[in-house]
Amino acid sequence: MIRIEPPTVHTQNTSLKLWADEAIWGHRFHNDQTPWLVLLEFLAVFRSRNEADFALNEHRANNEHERISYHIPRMRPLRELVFNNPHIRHIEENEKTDGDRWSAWLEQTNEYDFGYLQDRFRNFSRLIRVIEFFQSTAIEGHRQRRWTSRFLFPYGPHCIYADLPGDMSSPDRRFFARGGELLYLMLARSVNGRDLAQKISSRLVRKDDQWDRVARALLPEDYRIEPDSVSIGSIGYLPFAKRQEYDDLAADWHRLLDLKLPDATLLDPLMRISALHMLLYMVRRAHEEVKDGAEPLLVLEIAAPRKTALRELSIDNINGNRRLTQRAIKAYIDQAKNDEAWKEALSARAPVDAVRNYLLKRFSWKPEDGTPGGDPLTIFDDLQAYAEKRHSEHVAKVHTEWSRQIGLSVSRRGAGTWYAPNDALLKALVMTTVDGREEYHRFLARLYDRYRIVVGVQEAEYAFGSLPADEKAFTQNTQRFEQRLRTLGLLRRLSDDCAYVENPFRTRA
Amino acid sequence: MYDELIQTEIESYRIAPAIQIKPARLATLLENFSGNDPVNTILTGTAGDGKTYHCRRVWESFGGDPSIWQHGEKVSELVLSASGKRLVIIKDLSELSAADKSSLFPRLAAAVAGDQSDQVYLVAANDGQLVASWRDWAESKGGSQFDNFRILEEMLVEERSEDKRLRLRLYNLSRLDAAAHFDALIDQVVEHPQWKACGNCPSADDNACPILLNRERLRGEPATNPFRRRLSALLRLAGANRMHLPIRDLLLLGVNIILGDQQPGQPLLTCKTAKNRAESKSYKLTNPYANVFGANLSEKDRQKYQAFTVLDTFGIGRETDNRFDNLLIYGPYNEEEHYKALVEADSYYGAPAYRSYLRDYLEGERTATKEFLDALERQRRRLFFSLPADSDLDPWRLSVYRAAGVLLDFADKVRAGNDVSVVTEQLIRGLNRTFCGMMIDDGGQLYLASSGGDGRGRIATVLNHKLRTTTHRRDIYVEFEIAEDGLTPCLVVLDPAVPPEESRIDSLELQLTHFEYLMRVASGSLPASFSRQCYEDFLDFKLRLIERLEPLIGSEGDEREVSLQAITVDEDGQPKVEEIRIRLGAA
Repeated sequence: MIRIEPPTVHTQNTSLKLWADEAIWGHRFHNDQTPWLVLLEFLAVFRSRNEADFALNEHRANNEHERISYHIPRMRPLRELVFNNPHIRHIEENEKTDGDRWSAWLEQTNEYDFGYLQDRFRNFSRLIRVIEFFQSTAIEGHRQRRWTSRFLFPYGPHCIYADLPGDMSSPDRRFFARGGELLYLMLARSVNGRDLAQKISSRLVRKDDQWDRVARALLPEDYRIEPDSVSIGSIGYLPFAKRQEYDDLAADWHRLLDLKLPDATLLDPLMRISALHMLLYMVRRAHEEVKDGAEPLLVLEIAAPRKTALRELSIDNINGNRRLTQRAIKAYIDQAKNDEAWKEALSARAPVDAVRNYLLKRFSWKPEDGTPGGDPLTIFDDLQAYAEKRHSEHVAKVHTEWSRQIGLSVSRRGAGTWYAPNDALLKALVMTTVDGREEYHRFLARLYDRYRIVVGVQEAEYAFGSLPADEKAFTQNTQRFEQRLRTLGLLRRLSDDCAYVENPFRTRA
Repeated sequence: MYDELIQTEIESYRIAPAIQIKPARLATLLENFSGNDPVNTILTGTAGDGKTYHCRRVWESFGGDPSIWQHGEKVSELVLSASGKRLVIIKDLSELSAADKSSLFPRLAAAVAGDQSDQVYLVAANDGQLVASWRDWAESKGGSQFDNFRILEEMLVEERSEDKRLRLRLYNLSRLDAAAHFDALIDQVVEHPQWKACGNCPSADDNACPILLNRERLRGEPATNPFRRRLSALLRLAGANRMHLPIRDLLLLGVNIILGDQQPGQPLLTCKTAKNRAESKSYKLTNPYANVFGANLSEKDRQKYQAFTVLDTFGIGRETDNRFDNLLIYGPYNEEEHYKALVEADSYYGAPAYRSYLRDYLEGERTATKEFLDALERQRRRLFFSLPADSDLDPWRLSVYRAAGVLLDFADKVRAGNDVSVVTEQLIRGLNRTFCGMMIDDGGQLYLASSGGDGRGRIATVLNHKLRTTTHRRDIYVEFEIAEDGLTPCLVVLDPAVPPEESRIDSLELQLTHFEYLMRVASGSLPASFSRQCYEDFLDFKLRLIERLEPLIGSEGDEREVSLQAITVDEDGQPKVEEIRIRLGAA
């Protein structure tokens, strides 16, 4: 696998104190960026690169990282209207005539002159209903975020904009933490990014989407997107040129975009499945770093009335995956000791300085509390401790938080966290895995092949070599899974030994 | 093999004539194999559906020696005189070893593809087995072999018995009408000549023997005997809910109704225990209406038999409404006549088995509440199976599927071409409420609305399409058909503007649960218990339909304005559609 050197613009960035998580997984994964925001950020990058005609078809010089810059609109007036317009309902209720409502409202909006809306909507209540519609369909509307980090459902290009701090100045990396950039890079490096780009632009982020046109109608006549955009000089860093995960991820995008469903309905499964692939990528990368030769594994317990043996297994499984990234960081730092340069530094005339310089350089380490001191091993230990602490603050949390957010795991107070799918994820998995129909046991085998998901006996035997729990526990798990799928209208049993999983959306003709 | 075992048993108990039903496909099979150009045939179905039985009858009909069959060979062959072809019968595919299969499949597949003309096959197989082993073989071959396999798979899942591309008939014996089979079986059981032997029994004289009593209750045509009628309806409905009972289970059910005995130890009555029950008047132990649900078996044993798990899903006895409970509890005082006719009149399983519990309960005795509730449940079950067809009480109120009676009637009327506008309107109203998430009362048009966002929100306020529910010559409309099983309604969306073969835009089968869901939603009540699956099914259907209709009836876009149709519902439940036009800026 070809490893690409990170662009110095990132490694030398003074706000990046260490280059460790970034070297293993990329720059960067962040737990504050939920899978929905990953998808939104991706769409923002895609929109901009599509305008430049390079969408998912980026030039990459030999073994170098792509140099991609892009811009994201701010869409200030639109966001003011939808997310920073607290008095609008009060005015509707308290002013008597439509004219009074307009003037009362226009009076208290001082940032912009929204007078043009009166001409377009004519009726004030109509404007409110439209605003309410956008509010009620906002992405993760239940989350308490500052209004500048609230997002419209991405109906079309006018609904895609930057995450900004309260003053709306420079972009903020809190929620658009570059996870979407990584997703973009993965898809761009997959086998046929170009075809995919075409499918995406024909089905998502479409200018002619009805709701995107309504969003456009909320913008002033003279509003221009370009001048009010945020420029991102260089995209994040994704370490490997080619990986199977990129192709698998892209294949699922193709499958979903080929389904017969209203376009907007595709976003939810795209969000879940993309995050699932990214989680698998993270786990696999961690295994590679600790060199244990193992493959990722996700043992699902299908909800049962009582705690089952599978839940125990799944709890161990998720804990193992969580610890794994910590071990990967440790292993990555430890590697520094295997280098000739380490030995040379130790035997240098001033070993403390030499070791320090070696480590500072190798890990782009910018210690926060001044030059590290002590003997070489102390410096090393300090570095390692710092790397682990830094990892534990954000990247380490991605696995648990994302898996919960995409409906792959559940947490219960006092019982722990384990892998258990929710209905939306199950539906997404059927959409990607089943073309038309598939026999139930083959569906289970595919879930394992594609996503390393273990539900039944056969896959458990494959994954573990021998059964890690009672066979009956797996059989019952399979039966509960079948029942769940049936409840969702996704499974049909023909007879006592034959059942089919059905994708109700089939593939487009 | 089960079929072979049964032959032995019939002989050892000297049952004559043997109880058998006309093998449903036998005539078709015989006609096929006696023709000049017989077609390969595969019989699938759940264990106990008589696949091997069909094979044996074919074997014997074409002169095969019964003793050779009984010998237990897995593959039997004979020459068909009309066509001169060699008929190869595989009694049960799952009995074949891997080596047997690998030599069978190339020849079978060639025959099915029409490439081999001197042999013709009759194969019995469980469908899972068939699919798995055929696929394994076809996948390794690839090409047209795999394509042919896919066709076979399609036929199986879509329940088609023929396909132009293959020389193959595929009959799924599990899909045959369980109700008709059950009737035929019960008739033979209750009218069997060997009942004559009971004539010499003293118990027969005083009409006290529970075996004879139960037999008597099952006698008579479904048209006149409510017990038979309801049993038959339950089996039809189960089939319409995709729960099929194999013939083996139907037999078991019939036997259990007559012989079931709740005294722990021995679940079926013998002459001796029947005599004991009669002497002690312990008829509550032999109640045939409870035996229908396997009440004589332990929970664990009951779970083993499909017949009981399937019938249990109807919840008969556990479900009720005020009218029934008032009758059963206060009937002796408030509805004397009714009570007499429906409870007192049954001098074995009615009042005598119930009276003392009711009296204790009404007198405030609460130590035996559970016994009272059990007795009440038995009475509800008895009523379910014994209410006459013209009763003003609806027996289906005693089941989970309260609308089942309506469904049975609806299906009959649709098939007969009679007016079903009242029920259609209710179903459409249920759909409208589900599709829009509002209490819409209109059932005259179908409203397809979106919630915005990803489309899965419960409340959908933006109207995409409004469809007619009556036939129209130009506009797309919806109507109900009845599926091949003669019972399952199917909602079809039709475009009359295109040739008939392309006019079906989409369709949705309403299984029993779906039908119940819509009827309950239409009447304004909805228990959460079974709403989930239905809701998901309807939502998926709506999303799919909106996507399909868009290119057909999407309006022309206007560059300068957006026009939306907002749907709300007024206080009277009438949907109001408001056109919202928004002028666009030049941005």
